[in-house]
Amino acid sequence: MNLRFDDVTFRYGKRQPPVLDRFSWEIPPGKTVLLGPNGAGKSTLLGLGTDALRPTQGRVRFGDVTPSRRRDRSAYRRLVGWMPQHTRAVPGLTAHEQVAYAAWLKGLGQRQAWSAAADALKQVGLHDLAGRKVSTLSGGQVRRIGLAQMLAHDAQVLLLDEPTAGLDPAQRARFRDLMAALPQGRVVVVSTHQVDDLSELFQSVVILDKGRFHFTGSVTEFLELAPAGAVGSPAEAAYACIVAGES
Amino acid sequence: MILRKFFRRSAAVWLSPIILFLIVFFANDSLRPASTIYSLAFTVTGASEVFLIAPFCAACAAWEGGRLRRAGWLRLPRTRTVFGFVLLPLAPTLVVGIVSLIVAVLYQFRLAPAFLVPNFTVMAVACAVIIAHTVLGFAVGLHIRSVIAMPSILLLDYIWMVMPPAFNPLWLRHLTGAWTGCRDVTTSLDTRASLAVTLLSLGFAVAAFLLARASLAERHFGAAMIPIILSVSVGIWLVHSLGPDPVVPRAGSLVCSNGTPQVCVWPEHRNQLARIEPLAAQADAAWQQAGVPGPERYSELRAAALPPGVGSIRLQPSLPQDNRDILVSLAYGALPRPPACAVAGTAPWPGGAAAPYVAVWYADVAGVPLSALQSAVSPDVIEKVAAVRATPPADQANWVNQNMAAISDCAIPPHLEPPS
Repeated sequence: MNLRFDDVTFRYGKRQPPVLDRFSWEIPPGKTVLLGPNGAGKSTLLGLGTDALRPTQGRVRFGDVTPSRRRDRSAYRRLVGWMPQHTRAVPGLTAHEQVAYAAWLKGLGQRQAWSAAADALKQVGLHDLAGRKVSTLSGGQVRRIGLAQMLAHDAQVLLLDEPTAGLDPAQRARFRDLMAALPQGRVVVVSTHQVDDLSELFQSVVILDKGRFHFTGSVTEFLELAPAGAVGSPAEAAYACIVAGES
Repeated sequence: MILRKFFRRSAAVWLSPIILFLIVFFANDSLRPASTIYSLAFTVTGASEVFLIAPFCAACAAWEGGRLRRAGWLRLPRTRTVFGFVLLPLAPTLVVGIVSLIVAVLYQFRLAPAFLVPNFTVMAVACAVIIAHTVLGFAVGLHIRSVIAMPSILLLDYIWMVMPPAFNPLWLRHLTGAWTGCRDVTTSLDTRASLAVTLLSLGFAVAAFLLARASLAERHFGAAMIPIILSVSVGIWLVHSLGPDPVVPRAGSLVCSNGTPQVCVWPEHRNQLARIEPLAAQADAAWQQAGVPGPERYSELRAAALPPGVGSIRLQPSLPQDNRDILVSLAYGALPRPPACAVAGTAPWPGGAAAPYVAVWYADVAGVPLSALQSAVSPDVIEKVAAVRATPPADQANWVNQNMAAISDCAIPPHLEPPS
C-alpha cells in the first residue's frame, strides 16, 4: 500500500502563508530520501504524515485509512511510526521502559509492548543498554532509542525526521547500517538536509523546497544530474545544481 | 508490567512515607477524634486529612507531568486516548493518594468501640477530590517546568484546601470536602455539600483534560478555566444556604425499648438501651410522685424533629456516660420545645430563662443531687431550685407547671422565685 498526500494544504496560523499548498504525493513501499534546505517543509510534511499535524485542506491516507476520519485515526496512527527530529529521554525511565511506554501508547498491550520493546532494542543494537536510564545515554544512542520506539509497534509506514542531524561520522555510518536493515516492504521516508546521507540504500530521491517538488527520481537519475568536473561529491553537486537551477 | 515499572519510578511512591507520617502526626496532634459510635463521625474525621493528601498528590502529579513535558511526548501522535495517556504515569500517584485516604480513615476507626463500616459517600467524595487535584496537577506539570510547577501546585492547592475553613462565610469550607463538623449521631451529611464537592472535582478534571490537550498558545488554555469557574459557581449556589456544618437531620429508623417511658435511640446506641430504660423509669416514677409527669416517650431524634409530647435524649458528646449524665439528659429532654416565635425570633421569649431552673428541678427529683450540678449551672439556679425543693410538693408542682407553660409560650412570663 502507498502513503498518499491528496491536495494537502497546510498553514501554521490562519494569517500565515501556506507551507504546503495543494500538495499531492504518492509514496510507494521502499526507502525514499526527502532532501531540502532548512524551512523547505520537510518536517511539516512528515508531521502531516504522522497525524501530529492536521491538513488545513486535503487529506493524508495509507490505503483506505485516513486520520481525517475520526474512526480511522487510531488505526492510522498505529500504522505509522515517527522518529521526530529530537528524541528525548523521559526522565527516570530506562531504555527498555521508554520504548515499551511508546509502544503501549501506540496501542500495544502491556506485555506485548514490553516484549516488542526488547526486540526493537535488539534491532537497533541497544539490548545491552536496556536497563540504563535514557538520560545517561549518548546522543547517538538516544537516536537509536527513537528508532526503536518507531519499530516497536510494527508500523507499516516509517517516517524519520533528520535522523542523523548532529551525529558524528561514525554514528552516522552506524545509523545508515540500521536504516539498511529496516524491514522490507514498508514505506520509509527519511528527511534530511545533508546530501551525504544519500546512498544506494534508497530507492528514490525527492527534493522539496518551499513546499514544492524540485526533483523526483531514482538515486542514479539524481546523481547523473551532477555537472561534469564539479567540485565535491556528486550528490552535493547534483543537489546544488537542482536547487540553483530552480531558483 | 510497564505499570509496575512506573510504580518503581513514581515520585508519589518514593515520597509516600512522608505523607503517611504527616497523616498520623496530624491525626495525633490536631484532629479531635470522633466521640460517638457513629460511622459518619469517624469517616469525616479521617477524610478531613484530604487537605494534606490532595496537595501532595497534585504536586507529585505535576512532577510526573513534567517528565512527559521534558520528553516532548505531549504532542506525539498516539493511539491511546488522553485518559490512557495519563493513566500509566498517574496510576501510582492515584494509588498512593487513595491508600493514604484509607490509612487516614482507618486510623480514626481504630478508636471506634465497635466495628463500623466507613461512610461510602464521604469516602467516594474524598476520592473524587484526590483524583481531581491529581489530574489537574498533572496537566499543569505538562505545561510548566517541574521546578516551578511542583512547589507552586503544592502551595496553591494547600491554600485552596485550608483557607476556606478559616474564612467567613462559613459555608465556604463545605467546598473543600473536609467536613469535620459532621459528628452528631442525629445528623447526616447534606447531599448539597457532597454534590458541590463532586461537581467541583468534575470541573477540575475537565479543566485538566482541556489543559492536557492544549498548548499554552491555544484557546484550550483559556477554555480550561471555564469548567472551574462553572463548577465553583454551581458549588457555591448549592452550599451557600448551609450553616457551619453541612448537615441535615438524620433519616432512618430508631431502635425502641418496650418499657414505660419508651426510649428510642439510633442503632449505634442500641446497647445503651438496657442502661437507659431503668433510669428513665426511675426518673418518670419520681416525677409522677412529685405531681409532674414526664414524657411518655423519649427519642434521640433531633429536638427540632420531635413531635409534641416526645422528650429528647442526648447521648453525646462522650460515651460511655455515667448514670447522672443520662438522668440530666432525661431532665432536659422533659422540657417542652421552644415555641415557634422563639425559633423564628419574631417575639421576645422570656420563658426561655426558666429552662435551666426547671431542668435542674427535674434532675434533682430524678436523683441527681444539686451538688453534682454545681459545675454545670449557675449558683443562682442551684440556690433557687434548692429553695423550691424545700417547699411542699403541691407548690413545687405548681411552680414547675407555671414555668413549663412559660417555656412553651412567648406570651407567658416565667416565675422563677420560689413559692412563698
